[in-house]
Amino acid sequence: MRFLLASLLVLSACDGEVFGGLLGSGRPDDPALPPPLPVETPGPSSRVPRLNHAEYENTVTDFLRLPAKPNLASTFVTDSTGSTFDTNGGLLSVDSTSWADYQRAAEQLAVTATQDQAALARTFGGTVPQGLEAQVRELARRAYRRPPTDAEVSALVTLGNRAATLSPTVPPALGGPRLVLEALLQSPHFLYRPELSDAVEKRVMPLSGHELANRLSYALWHTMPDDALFAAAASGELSTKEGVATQARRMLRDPRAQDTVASFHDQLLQLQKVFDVTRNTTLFPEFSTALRQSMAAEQRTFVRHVIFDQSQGLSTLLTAPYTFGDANVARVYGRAGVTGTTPMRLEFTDGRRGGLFTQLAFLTTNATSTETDPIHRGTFLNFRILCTGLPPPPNNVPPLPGEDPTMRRTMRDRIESFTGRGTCGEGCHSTFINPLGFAFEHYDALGRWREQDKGLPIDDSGEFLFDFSSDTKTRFEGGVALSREIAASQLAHGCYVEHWLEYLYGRPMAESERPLMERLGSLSRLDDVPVLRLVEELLVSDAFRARPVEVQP
Amino acid sequence: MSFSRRLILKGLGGVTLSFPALTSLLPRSAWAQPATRKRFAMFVRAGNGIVQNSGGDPERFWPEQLGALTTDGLRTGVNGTRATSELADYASRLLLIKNVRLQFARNQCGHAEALPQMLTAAPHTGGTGNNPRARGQSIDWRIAQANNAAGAAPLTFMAGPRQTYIAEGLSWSASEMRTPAERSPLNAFMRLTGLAAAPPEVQRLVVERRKSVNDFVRDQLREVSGKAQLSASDKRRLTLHLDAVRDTELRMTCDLEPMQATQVRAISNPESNDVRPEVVRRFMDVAAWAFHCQLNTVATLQVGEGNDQTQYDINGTRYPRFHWISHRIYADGSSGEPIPNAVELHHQVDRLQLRLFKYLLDRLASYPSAYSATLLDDCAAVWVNDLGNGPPHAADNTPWIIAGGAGGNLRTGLHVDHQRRTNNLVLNTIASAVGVRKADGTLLDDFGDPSLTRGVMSNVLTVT
Repeated sequence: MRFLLASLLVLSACDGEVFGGLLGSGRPDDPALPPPLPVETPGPSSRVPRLNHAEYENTVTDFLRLPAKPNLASTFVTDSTGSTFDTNGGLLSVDSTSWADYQRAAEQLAVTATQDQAALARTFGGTVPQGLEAQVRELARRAYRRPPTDAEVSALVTLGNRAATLSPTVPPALGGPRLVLEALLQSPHFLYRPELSDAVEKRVMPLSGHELANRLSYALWHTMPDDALFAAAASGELSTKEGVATQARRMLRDPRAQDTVASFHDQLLQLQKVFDVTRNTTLFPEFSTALRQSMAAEQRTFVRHVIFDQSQGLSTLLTAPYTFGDANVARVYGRAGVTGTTPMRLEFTDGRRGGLFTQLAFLTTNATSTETDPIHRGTFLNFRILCTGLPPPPNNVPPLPGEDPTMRRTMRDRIESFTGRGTCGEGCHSTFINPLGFAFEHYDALGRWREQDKGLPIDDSGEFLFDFSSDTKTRFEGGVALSREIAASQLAHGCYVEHWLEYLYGRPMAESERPLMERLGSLSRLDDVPVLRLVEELLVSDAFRARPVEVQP
Repeated sequence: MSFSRRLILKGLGGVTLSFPALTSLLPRSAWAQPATRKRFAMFVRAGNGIVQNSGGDPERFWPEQLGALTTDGLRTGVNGTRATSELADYASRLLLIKNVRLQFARNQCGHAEALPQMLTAAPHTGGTGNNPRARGQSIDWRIAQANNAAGAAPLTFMAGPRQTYIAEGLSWSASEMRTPAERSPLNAFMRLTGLAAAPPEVQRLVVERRKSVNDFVRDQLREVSGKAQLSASDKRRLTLHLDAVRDTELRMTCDLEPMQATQVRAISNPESNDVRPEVVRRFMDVAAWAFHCQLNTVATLQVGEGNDQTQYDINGTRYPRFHWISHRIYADGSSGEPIPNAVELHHQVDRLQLRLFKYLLDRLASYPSAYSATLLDDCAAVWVNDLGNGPPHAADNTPWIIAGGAGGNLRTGLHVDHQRRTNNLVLNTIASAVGVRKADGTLLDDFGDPSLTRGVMSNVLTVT
């Protein structure tokens, strides 16, 4: 399979076909290759996605060539989309509150960028073009992230010429660019990423070169295109899959892509919750507030190592028998000899741990302050990792009864008596939630390994239907075994691809894109295709490079 | 420049020229409607339910009897042990409404799914955390569109962290369009006024400059939103943006009192647990001031996260997380170590919430009214909890308290039982009381999901 994939990718880089095909479309006359798929119909998306706050902050920094981020977006009213990821710009709007933020920031940034001649020169990248019109054309090209029309330039020049009247105390050489910058930074062509091209080709609307450059840049870097990407857009290089793939590979080698990949996993795995973790220090003396940061660093270092240093895929993320821990994390794992706050590689040779779900972040954020929480551990895996789409529980489910002090029971026994077979919770809990959650019962509320629960032996066995086309459940014992089964399942790989699609495309996956998800999920499962290769494939797909013809309601 | 702005500017270390305000020079025409009485509404929301006779808890919230309320009656006897006794000073201006039901199924998380229903009376998309989105507009937006100049957006505040399991969910500009909440009273104040130390002639120039930029932006927004291929959702979003541009030109000069300005400035970490009640009070300062200055006519304030995790300090004691108290255990889930005396602790938090609400009433009552005794009398100041009780977090007996009478349009000094009818009736009543009407000029009686029974609470509404 690895060979087949490599072959297909080479072909995809050679044929230059615009739309359609499997991994870039094989040559139709080659009988050894599978037939090309029809055009992948893109899902509906906003034509005016708004920059989120992180994108805004990055974009103003790059646009104005500021030496450091201005940290203005942290004072803005919070964005809230309710999505799994923060990249769905179609759910972000501008109301009077956020407009006041943008207005205030624009005025402040315009002053910063035109403070004096040196600042103005830096804004232009070294040399200030002669004449207001030339200045406007260059500033608008970078602010709109496309060449401005003559009418747009004319309107801005007219505005800039009013600076002498409206800002009489500012030197003329600075006043015009300052007023123009104020306007550009508040323009909808800056605050949004309008995609207004409407040519139709093979039943879809291909994006223009600059629209595609923007999609690529915001997907991989969360900021505006760099000069190379602008050049690729202008030269027509992005009109072919080959051109897009070339740029995507270049961009993935840039350090900014590491931040993007990290942000994806932070959000997918809800890492932010780790900063709210509290534990009873009598029961868990290893806990301190510093451990929160250490747990986050463990997961982030591990993810970066697997994806960038090792160029490996999801299966490795889920099963690798090592992690990276500093002294705080090592203490929880019972490892001596680790000092300091820099995460060090820790090998797991006893078979008790492997992959993300036996690391501390997952285990602690899905536990209470005193006890494990198998229900939330199982629910998280169902929703976020397997995308099983659990049906909702019935109304008014009473809480799990408290522990009966006269009866010693394991957490598993307590939960099963309430939600297990023969109870009204059997359908979801026994089938979907409990088996996955119980597998981690050897890890306590802080993620420490334990042999017993309440002095009783732990049963961490279970079975789960990973293949819905079959009736055969897969049996496993413990978190490591379960992680291996998850890593071997099409469900997990398809789910992971689906999440990546949502993150990169800035919208949920459409049904029409299911074949794309299943195809890439299969490749990920069968061959542990590197995560970065999956990202690249999603970016060269028809679904990313085009829009549907139909206007959404 | 007025004294309070100087105080703010002093605290900000001289950022003045970056924040030109200039609103005093803007036209007042949109607000200047002396013939039309201004009425205001503010919704303060607490979470996690209350201790009332429900779910096995004793009655610790409502006065014993329905009917007329008096200050003495609320303070004495068994009523003095109830949380509502905290509002006894305002008895004659209160309307207590018990047993209000939220209609739509709460399948996964009571907090997450009650919050978006509270002011929308609409179904939601379902789910946990921040996933549930209301499938309808919230009443603050409906009121804003009717009563604010140029349809300016309502004020949306939250005292709580931005990174949390269930964040803001009270205000919805349209179906599934959540309104982001401001977390910082200082930022809210700055947005409402701008800050300027510049002399008037400079302010005039900046106003003109802003107007020129706004004109430029407006033209571009109109051009983009006029594209035929845009979806209805995209057009709605761009229209909201256009409205916002217009709104910025309608601000006026009006200052906070020096003490409030100092206190607003003093909060540097508004999302911190330890300043939560303080942030609530400061948002109330800003809202009351904004009403007084007619900068807005409607506001929402969400106290705490969806499942309020605040550790309140009450009578010198740091309480466990409120959400844990509401579960009666040291945990967010259904199992954990029991919290001793949790019902009493919950009751004390209820009292604290109502003391905070009383602060809002004090602030509103401190401003004069052009029509009544005080600004409070022109208001419907509303306190709600989006759940009825601690365990099991029921949503069919949520508590509503309205203070102020909305300029005489609501009966006050009254305690009524809503008898588990739905919240849309209360929302219709509040909106009608502050002057919202249907297109045919009749009372608003159809807000919320069409499946709900229409109507208003005719037993408390004095206007027809």
